Amino acid sequence: MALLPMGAVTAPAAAVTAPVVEPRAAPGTGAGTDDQDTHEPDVPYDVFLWNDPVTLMDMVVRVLSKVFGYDGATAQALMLRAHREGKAVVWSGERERATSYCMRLGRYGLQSTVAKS
Amino acid sequence: MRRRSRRTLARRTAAGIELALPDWVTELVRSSLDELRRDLVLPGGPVGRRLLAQLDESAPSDDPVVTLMRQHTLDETLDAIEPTIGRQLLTDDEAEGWLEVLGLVLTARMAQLGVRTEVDRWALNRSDEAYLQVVYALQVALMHALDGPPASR
Repeated sequence: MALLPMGAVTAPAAAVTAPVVEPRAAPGTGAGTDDQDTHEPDVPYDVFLWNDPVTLMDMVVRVLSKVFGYDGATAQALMLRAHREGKAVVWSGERERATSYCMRLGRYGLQSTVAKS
Repeated sequence: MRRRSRRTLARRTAAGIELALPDWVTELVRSSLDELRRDLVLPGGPVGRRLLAQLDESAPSDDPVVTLMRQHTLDETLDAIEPTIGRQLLTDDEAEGWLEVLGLVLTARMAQLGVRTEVDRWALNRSDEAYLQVVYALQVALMHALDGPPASR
């Protein structure tokens, strides 16, 4: 793969979705409330990776592999999706883990956020 | 006649990851880290806003505990790497820490310059472009030293 910043890619991204999705917990606990402190354990959260114009593609792929354990092809497809669409869901699951993953991505300077699925 | 040898910036040896950085590159890394540490003290500045931006899109504002944890995590990253600047031999963990810090300084520098889009990025002046290329070269060298060249991964 060419050593280009993530934002410099022009190749079309392969269709891919975040492959790691934790099963939803049984419905009922916490549903229908806006109180963040209840943690809403049955609502999965998505980790979004945002495109940025300076980070090397290889670097993004490597970080996705390291943080989430993805193989190279999956990590590359997710990186390309973030580039093409501006952001990509790179993981879904429990809120605390999603936040923790965001912080790990942030240690490499990558921009990410979490949001309810 | 001798062929000019090309030294790589980082390579794996039996003892660990060996760095062969020109002094000015070492100083560039050191000064970038100092700059980043100063900028992170100002959470309302461009670097603070970029590196400590709100994580949870669902919440009206980030949990202050999460924000503190993020600041602490970044401080830890910088603290771990600072004593290794100037050394010629790194452990794998230290080299990984260098990759983290290089990503952070790159993001911080681009935030300072107001680079948010590809148009902004390609409009960088020669000096800022040169900075970018030096950081890229170091990142690539460290990735290759840690993981092997792309073909062998």
